[in-house]
Amino acid sequence: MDKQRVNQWYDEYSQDIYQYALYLLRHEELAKDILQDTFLKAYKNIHQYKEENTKGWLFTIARNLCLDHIRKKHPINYMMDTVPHSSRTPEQSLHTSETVKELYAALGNLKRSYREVIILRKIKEFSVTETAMILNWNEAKVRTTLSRAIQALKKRLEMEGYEHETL
Amino acid sequence: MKHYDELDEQLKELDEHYKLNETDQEQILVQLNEKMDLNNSEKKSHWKPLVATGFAIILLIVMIPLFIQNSTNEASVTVLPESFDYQSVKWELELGMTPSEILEIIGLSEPSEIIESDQGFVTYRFDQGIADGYVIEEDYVDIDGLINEKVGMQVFIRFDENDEAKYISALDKIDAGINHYHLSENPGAPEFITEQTISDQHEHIQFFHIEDYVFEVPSLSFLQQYDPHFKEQFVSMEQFNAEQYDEIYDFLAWSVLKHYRAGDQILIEETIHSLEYESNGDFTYIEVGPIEDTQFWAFNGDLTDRFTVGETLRVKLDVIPFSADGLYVKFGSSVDDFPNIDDHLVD
Repeated sequence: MDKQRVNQWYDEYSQDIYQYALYLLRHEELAKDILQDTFLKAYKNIHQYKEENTKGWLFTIARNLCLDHIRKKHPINYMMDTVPHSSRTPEQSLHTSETVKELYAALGNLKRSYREVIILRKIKEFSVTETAMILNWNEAKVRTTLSRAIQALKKRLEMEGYEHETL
Repeated sequence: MKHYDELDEQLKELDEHYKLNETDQEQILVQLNEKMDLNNSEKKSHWKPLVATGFAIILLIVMIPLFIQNSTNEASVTVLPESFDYQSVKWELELGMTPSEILEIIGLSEPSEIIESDQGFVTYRFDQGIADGYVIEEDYVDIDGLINEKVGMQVFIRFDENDEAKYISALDKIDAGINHYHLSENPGAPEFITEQTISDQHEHIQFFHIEDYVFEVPSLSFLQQYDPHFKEQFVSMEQFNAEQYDEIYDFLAWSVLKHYRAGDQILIEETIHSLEYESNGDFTYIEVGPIEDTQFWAFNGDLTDRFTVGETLRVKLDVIPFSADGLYVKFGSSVDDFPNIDDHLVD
């Protein structure tokens, strides 16, 4: 029964979880590992599941796994949180448009808290309350950080040659 | 000029371009279900220890003949001759060679393992110096085996659809770590070689994804600017970045730090733009660097009470070897966590 439920969640949310981990870690294979581990952990901890927000609960698990990875598996690049990852798939290079690649790169070059709040609020479209729950922040911090994060992203994009009508 | 007035829309579009393909999605689900079944059976085993013990005895009886048979098979596993060493891989094997040409040069009739990827590519794996009784369970790099000296060297040769060697990679355990040689074609550099030394503390993620990933290395012209000298003065992040910038490939080649040698220290002086404590991971982000391109350093613990915005911070970063010959270096640390700022502060 639990297994069936996890399978249903996987059908519904696997893309979202994968993309979240990918944007956060910027590594396809790691994102796949996080995806699998998220649902396995959900299965093992299903007794902690509360019916109200499945997606938010799964994102919380995924985030903790990502943080765990960043803390423990990257001793070399620990100092520079913005270091671009050294490997990339050829497919990514060939089939993704320039604009999307620039946006992906600009997002990836933001500090992690900025990246996280943009991913959750703007890409995955979680509410402020849901985002606050996943990030373990209060709602005011979500709002202020999002505002700063968007400014930082625009600054990054300006460096890449983007323009905007009004500042 | 590109516009970001529709930034919200463009961000939402990202998902369309970074989707997990259906094959991988299904494969991960299959593995997930297997693991859930395994977890389930483990749970059951706690409830039924007597049944489990009985089953184990039966299993043991059934497995003994199989184990004996396996032991016999293990003895006949093909291994790379000791005479064909790391240098032989570098100098005798070339891209474009066919499987039979490679086997002839090595002097074997078959590789230790033939690995077929989901994409249909074939990779030959050759193992050398396997400890008695040790069984390699990984298809690709057995990093644990190498680090623990259960495996002396592993060579991987991947062939393309024309049965020609597309990349040649070797991992050789030495006292200082692991030599890594990787020869492949690359659109930016027609041919490149990386040699990396990986110590126990710096096991690198590249090894786990050798099959489907390309590794970015600096351009040859960047490397030719190599001018090692010991730095004794403080530099800003802007100056440091400018030194490491590879104009041809348009990226910061932090992985080679061409002006430094292993054992040097990079001395950086910067003004703190912001401090932010992450309670979840118990570390503090310190924002420094030129305002148009700030960097975020992460240090262990809550430092928000200890430092203030606008304060000047002087830190030293250790330069560690990255390649076997020590010519390639990078900054790093042997710690398996965020560093303590006191280890890096300079008065």
